[in-house]
Amino acid sequence: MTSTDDESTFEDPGEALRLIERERVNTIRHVTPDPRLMYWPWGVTWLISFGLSFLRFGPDGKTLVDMPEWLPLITLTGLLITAGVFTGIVGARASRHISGPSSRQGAAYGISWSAGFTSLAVIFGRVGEQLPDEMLGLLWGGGMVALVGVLYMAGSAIWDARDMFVLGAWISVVNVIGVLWGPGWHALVVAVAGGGGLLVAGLIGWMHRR
Amino acid sequence: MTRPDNDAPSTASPHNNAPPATSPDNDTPSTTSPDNDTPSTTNPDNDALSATSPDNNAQSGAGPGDDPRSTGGPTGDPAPAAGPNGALPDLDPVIHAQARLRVVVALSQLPGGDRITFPRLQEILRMTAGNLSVHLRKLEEAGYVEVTKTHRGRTPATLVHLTQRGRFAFEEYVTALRTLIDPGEDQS
Repeated sequence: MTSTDDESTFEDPGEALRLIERERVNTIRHVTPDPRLMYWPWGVTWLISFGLSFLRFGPDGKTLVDMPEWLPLITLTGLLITAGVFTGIVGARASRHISGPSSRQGAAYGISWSAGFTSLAVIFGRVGEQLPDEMLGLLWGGGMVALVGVLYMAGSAIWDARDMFVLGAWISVVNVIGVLWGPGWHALVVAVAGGGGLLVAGLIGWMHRR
Repeated sequence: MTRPDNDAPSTASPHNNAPPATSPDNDTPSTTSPDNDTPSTTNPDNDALSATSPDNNAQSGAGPGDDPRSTGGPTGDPAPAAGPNGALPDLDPVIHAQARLRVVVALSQLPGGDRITFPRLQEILRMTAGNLSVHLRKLEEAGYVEVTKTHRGRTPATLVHLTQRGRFAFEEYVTALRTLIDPGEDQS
């Protein structure tokens, strides 16, 4: 059972420090989800569905690529659910068999997302009755993306994760620019800069923890 | 996500009051060593530390009665500034063993207050159950780790976490290591 080097010490302090670093990285890799798996599904979702939305409902009401009207929204819904379930599983796997404050933080944060989206959906559904179609798209897209940006920034306050803050701030800024630019353009900006930002965030997060 | 180890060096006081209550018989080195704080020596790291390794008995934590100072011997040169015990007393014998160091590092990465189940810890560390429990026991005896039995639903679960004292001891250990590598570093 006990291997021979159990009580073995180190030839030099540098070796001990290297072991500490190795083990630290190893543990982090186990107990925190792979950033690629957490961000990329959302990045792909935004890229594809906002991309479709831009092509179908382009600036000034133009249709750049002909496709059924319902396609962008159905795609968005399908991809959102898939990404949500997938990242939920990945996140839960990383924190399994660990209990305490961090799992309560994680749960509170997860519930915040659901609460935020539900609230906005109810508000937009109610208000949207009065809006022309293109403004309706802007309201939903702009509102939801704003929520995502803010939640990432808040998440960085919980986990002291600078990358996450930068991502949230980036999404917030890009979203506001898109909204000001107007319907159609918003979808393009969010697809490219927002979706792209998520893909980059996953990559950077992954490189940082290697 | 990176925390205690990185902050540690800044606090750096070369006087490590070693593991306070750990294992009574090991107290000796910490109490001696007034010359402790001057690792300023010539050949600091290697010589100094290698003093610890050759003789593992002293490291075995609760190891009864063996005078830890005997470890000072192997380097052979009593004179130079580091002194025979210059470096040794700084390294907490409970932590200064590969397997236990790995356990402590892994636990230190969990946010304070979090507890991890035994099998999950075992999976992260890739250690056998027997091996891990031996080392956990030693860490527990030193007050560095708390092991609690509980139930998750119907199945019994063993939860492990690093105590405040364990966290502190680990920080001190890292500080000591850095001091050994670069004695001047935190003297300024």
